[in-house]
Amino acid sequence: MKTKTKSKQWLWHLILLILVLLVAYPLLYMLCSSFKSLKEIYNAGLSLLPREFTTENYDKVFSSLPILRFLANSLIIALIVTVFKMATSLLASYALVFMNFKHRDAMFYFFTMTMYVPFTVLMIPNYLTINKLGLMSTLVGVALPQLADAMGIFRMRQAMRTIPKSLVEAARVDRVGHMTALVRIVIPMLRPAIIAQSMIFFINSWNEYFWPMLILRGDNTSYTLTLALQTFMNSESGSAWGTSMALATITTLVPLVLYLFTQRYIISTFMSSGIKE
Amino acid sequence: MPKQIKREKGRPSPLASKVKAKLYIAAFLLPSLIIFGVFMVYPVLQNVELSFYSWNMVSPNKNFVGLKNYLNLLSDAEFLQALGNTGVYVLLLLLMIFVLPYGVAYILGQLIKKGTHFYRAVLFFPSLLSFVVAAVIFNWILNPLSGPLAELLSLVGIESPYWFRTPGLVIFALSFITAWRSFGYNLIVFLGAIVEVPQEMIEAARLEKASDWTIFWQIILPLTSPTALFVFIMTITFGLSYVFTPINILTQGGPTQASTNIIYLIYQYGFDYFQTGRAAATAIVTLVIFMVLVVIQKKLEKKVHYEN
Repeated sequence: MKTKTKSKQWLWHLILLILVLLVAYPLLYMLCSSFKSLKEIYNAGLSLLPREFTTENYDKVFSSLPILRFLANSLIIALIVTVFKMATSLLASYALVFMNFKHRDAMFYFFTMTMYVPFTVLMIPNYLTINKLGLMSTLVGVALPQLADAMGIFRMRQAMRTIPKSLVEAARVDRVGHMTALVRIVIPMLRPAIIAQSMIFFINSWNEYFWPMLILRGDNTSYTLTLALQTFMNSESGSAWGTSMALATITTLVPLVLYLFTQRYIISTFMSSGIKE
Repeated sequence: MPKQIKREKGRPSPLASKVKAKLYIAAFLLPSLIIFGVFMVYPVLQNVELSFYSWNMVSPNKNFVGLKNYLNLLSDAEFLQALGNTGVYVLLLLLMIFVLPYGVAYILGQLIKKGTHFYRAVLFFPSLLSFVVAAVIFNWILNPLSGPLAELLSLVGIESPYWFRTPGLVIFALSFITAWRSFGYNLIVFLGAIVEVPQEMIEAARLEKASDWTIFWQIILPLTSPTALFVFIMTITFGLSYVFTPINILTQGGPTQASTNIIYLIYQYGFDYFQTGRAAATAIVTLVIFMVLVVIQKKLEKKVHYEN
């Protein structure tokens, strides 16, 4: 009996290690290729580590593109989106959890339904709206439709429901305003969830490609990193192998660093997202 | 207690406080409602309107054509092909990011004794990458001339196909890239549900010599079915949107529309062909299909909830 479970443990770890390899190899391939010359990449076969370490791909990326500008653009959009999404999500979920009003459940239902509207359905009308507002090719035009988030409301509501209602009610009896209750009582208790959700907002915005492409494609100085990466790969096709790996590595650095610091928070937030009510 | 009552007495009139409470509710909800109203509800309504017109998005004239855009879809070869492709995408995605992570989450959460934290941290990471990065990496890895997969295949004497230019294979390649990026997210959501399953039940089953397989089917599956339902619907609705970026970067729906799907087709009609009315009609059809799926999910969810 014991040997049977032991041999099975091996099987499970083997399956998991194969998956780890499937995840890690492409990432290592990206990182290692970015330090290889084009000639070496073509002849590398399956070997990962560069024989001759070179930074020429990075030099080329930095000299041919205003990378710092793109980086700043990505950063500005992601910061605006994160701050606003967090604020609107906290306000709405506070109302949904701690305030009593008619049709509260219907309101929540409405918020969750918006999650499932595919973005291509919204694309043409939103494009026309941004155009009408004169925000084409601007970072604000990219951020504006994304200042509220159903997933954020959903997760913040879920986190707030773990706070005993009596705590907020007691404060309310003591004439503490809703805004003060939110800022002084609720937010401090939700710190891990708020950190995790903010990271997710930030990373998702950082990674976004399609909507910024529609709004910014007319002006290549307002490109974001992902947008630059896509045009770079397509424009130089075969010769851009090493350089696009360098640019992909740069784009990946930010999510990677954020993940290293907040890994536990992020994973526990996602782990609880399927459990409802 | 008496203290509280005293305070109640000092409160403003009930009517005034009622109005104030309403104002607060509005103030807290409006920021989200305005954004959703302008950039979600209004666009859906505008799509309904546009779907009755023939328009190229720039001309000042829109021609009312009634239901023609919808009727035309029924005989539109591109739409029917996209619908078929969508079915293939859904099947592949369900296999790769619904069935597979469900099983792997069971291994991670209940079967292995060590290493759970390491595995979940590594396997989750690609979910934080941009689909653009994933597409760029696999563009080179799947390169048929000198990419690593081609090298690997040549070791066993197989010539690498042109993944992105071969109908049939192209959907598989794009689904794989999407799955590579999204597998970890679904894995973690499943894991969250599976570790919540009461240990006593599993241990009791073990004492009765139930196999891991039986435990999965008879204990894990019924107890995690609300989460499974949620991931199932997300895999279909979000999955089809996720494929969008790899399609847009690597194939633009080609070769000859072999890799397009209904989500991508809306973009093609709108921004490649400038047939705004047809794009809007396709968008509405897609939205209706998705909403039906979500409503079915909610109904089933309630049922599952009561049964447990």
